[in-house]
Amino acid sequence: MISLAVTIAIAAIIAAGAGMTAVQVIRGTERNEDHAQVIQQAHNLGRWFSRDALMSEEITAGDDPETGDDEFITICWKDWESGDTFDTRYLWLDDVDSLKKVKRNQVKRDKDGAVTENATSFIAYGIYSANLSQQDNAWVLNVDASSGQKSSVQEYKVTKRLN
Amino acid sequence: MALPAVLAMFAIGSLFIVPSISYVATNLKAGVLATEEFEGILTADAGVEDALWKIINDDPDFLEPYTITDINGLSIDIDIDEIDTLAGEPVGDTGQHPDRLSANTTVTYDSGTYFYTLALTSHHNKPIKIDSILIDFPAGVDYVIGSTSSNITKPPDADPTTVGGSPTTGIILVWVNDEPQPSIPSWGTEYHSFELSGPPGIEDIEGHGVVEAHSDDIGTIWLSDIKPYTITAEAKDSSGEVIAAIKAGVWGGSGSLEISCWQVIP
Repeated sequence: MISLAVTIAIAAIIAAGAGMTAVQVIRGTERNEDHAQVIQQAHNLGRWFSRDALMSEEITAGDDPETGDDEFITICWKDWESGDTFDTRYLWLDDVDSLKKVKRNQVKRDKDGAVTENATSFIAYGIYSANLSQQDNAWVLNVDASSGQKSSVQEYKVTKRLN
Repeated sequence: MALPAVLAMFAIGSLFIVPSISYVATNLKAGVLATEEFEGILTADAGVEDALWKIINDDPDFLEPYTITDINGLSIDIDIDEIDTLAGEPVGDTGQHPDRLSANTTVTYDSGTYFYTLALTSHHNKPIKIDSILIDFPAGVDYVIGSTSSNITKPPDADPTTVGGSPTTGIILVWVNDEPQPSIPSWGTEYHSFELSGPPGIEDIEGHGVVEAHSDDIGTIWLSDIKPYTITAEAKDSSGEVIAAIKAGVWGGSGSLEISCWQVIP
């Protein structure tokens, strides 16, 4: 009888320990997932912006009231051989819990101004804010992303290749 | 008794842990790929810089494709080409008979308008007929419709045949004359004026131009202030896969250089 009680007690301790370990692993994994997601989503936005900003002739921060969309960055450049122009806009879409999704819309026009391509893709979600400012000769994008209980602000600094 | 419970919990935990770790790993791999792409862009950019150096210093072999190795662990294939179209308009072998025609540009500014005058002077003993005039402008200005004043467009004072591009990325104006083209008399000068709207202080507002002309005795004349080139730089890994590529358009030569477009491709 005593040995059975001891066995059950030991088994209970082991089970409790194993259970706590499993819970910690799962929670830790969730935190890691959240952190990885925050970094990844901010990085997606930062990477696209960095790539586009390098090519830009002109960068405009903020909404363009002449469009019906809620853009926060507009970047324009051209291919001088063909005369094609590229207008790229970063647009907000509502996500969950005050967070937003970001989509990137690129309109390509030929030299006469006719639209030849109009492509839109989602590039990030879980974004709380993205603020673009000009510092000296560079553009700085601060991206505040969030997932679960994790959030992070990432900074992307880009100098236009064409000056 | 406890062992089955523990094993069961481990089994259940593993169901969560494996896909979770896989998800994190996928995110990390995506981050690594993005980093590799940017390393590739930086590497290709190094190739563009090398090409720019060759153009500005008039390297005798700069039109030959070449490769630079071991830059960020990648190689760069670089190709510099003389441009044959600008905004879709043909541009010939600029510098052909340049001594027979010269251009002088004057730009003044007043109240939101740039007043642009191109003076073309003949240095030839026969009339020089003007086939086309192309001028590439920096971003920020737009052509003022109806502002052209010129005896070397057909009809006189005609607006450009093409207003390419956009004010946000820079416009290209092209006047193309049908036969019989207007001409500049021998040793004479004709003026080609027009207006551009835009804010003050735009750098390099003179732009760059190409004039196609011809004379009955010496044929086609291509005149430009400096030559237009494209530079293509591809960063490749050891297997030859293109990691990133950049195409740049520049006006350059003889110690002068101006980058007009710079694109990450595709």
